[in-house]
Amino acid sequence: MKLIPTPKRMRRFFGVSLAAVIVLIVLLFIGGYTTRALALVQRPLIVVGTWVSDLSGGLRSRSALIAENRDLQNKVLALTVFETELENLRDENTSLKLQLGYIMETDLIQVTAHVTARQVSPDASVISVDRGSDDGLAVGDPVIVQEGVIIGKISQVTSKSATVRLLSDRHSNAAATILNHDRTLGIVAGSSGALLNFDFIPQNTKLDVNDVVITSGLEESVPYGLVIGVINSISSNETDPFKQAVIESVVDYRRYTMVSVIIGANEL
Amino acid sequence: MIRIITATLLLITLATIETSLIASLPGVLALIPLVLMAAVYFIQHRGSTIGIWWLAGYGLFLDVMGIGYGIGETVIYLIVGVLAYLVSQRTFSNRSLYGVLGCGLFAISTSAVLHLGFQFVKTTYTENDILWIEAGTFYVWQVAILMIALFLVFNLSSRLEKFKLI
Repeated sequence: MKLIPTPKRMRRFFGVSLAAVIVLIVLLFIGGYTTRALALVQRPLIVVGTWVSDLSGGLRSRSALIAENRDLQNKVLALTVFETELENLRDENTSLKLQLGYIMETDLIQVTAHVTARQVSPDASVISVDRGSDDGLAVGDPVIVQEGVIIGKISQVTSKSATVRLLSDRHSNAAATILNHDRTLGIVAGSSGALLNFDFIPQNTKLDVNDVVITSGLEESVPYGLVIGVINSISSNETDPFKQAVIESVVDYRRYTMVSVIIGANEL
Repeated sequence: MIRIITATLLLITLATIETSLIASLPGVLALIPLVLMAAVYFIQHRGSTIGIWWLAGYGLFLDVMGIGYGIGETVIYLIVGVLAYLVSQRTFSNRSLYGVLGCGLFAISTSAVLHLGFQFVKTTYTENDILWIEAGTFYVWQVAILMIALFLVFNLSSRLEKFKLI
């Protein structure tokens, strides 16, 4: 047992300590550039990891695939109904635009970013991307995939990189509306796992499983109409004034290696 | 100086692999604590203080990348490193497999306790409670994976030592 360090060991210890502190301070101060440089290495690693993850997803059992197929068929049915409703709304919208002389199209600016790192923790769902304030990103900007499915919001930004807090994170929330008859407004918040909670829905509100949930546009940087997910289940107790819905995202957040950030939505 | 640079580059490589490649893997494979495993190996099996700085550096890496708890990770991992080193010197003083596994178990348990403690403090400022079952499951899996990984590394260590990188 070596309880008393020798002078040589002490010198070595302090030498290493000093060098480490210097390196760490340099890393801290040039953090933005470090993350941008590291992104060159991280991007292919993320792609490989996601590819392995996708590959393992394809090796699921037959029964799981049958169950998923049944679930997807139900969703297709619900979406067909929704599409019909959407078509009616589109016609109505076109008509109103013509009536109002509304000619300006909404041009949302999107910045494409690569995912460079993912946090693994029981408490948080956070990813890092290789774009920062130099590219126009700001805290609160929505992060989307597939041209319209919101997966999170920017929570922290440096000049060259940004941190995205996914909607599934327990500290995440987004102003949302359910595409039901009443267009119910509320807040979607992350819970454990990949599911989201939609709380404080008035008891008399009519909801159905597979109703689509979108952003309400009530947040400063988040435009209306980004898809959050579909209602997976509804829990209701007649004695309570409110009921809750569990929202399931239409995409798997972990499968994306590239995302888009909508910037400047609050300036429109 | 060459050793310090090598150690720093190796740390950045391991941290990058852990947060990019491993974190994207499916299921429990995403929970492999690569840097902690390497640090425990160096602290316990090699008796090197470089493991302390690796852990502190890994905490800083998480904070710089914005995927930690603010400045929390640097402090947490520095404490884990120092305590693991002290334990390796005073309790698990031999360099056997059991010593390495014991030190690894101590390090990851300390990390879990400090992370949960940090979260507990955070919950006093937010409405969210700690999800004890999810956190417990997460750390139990991580302990199991770390033990398996340390077992494999210990058995391969004689081959690794031939490279004498550090």
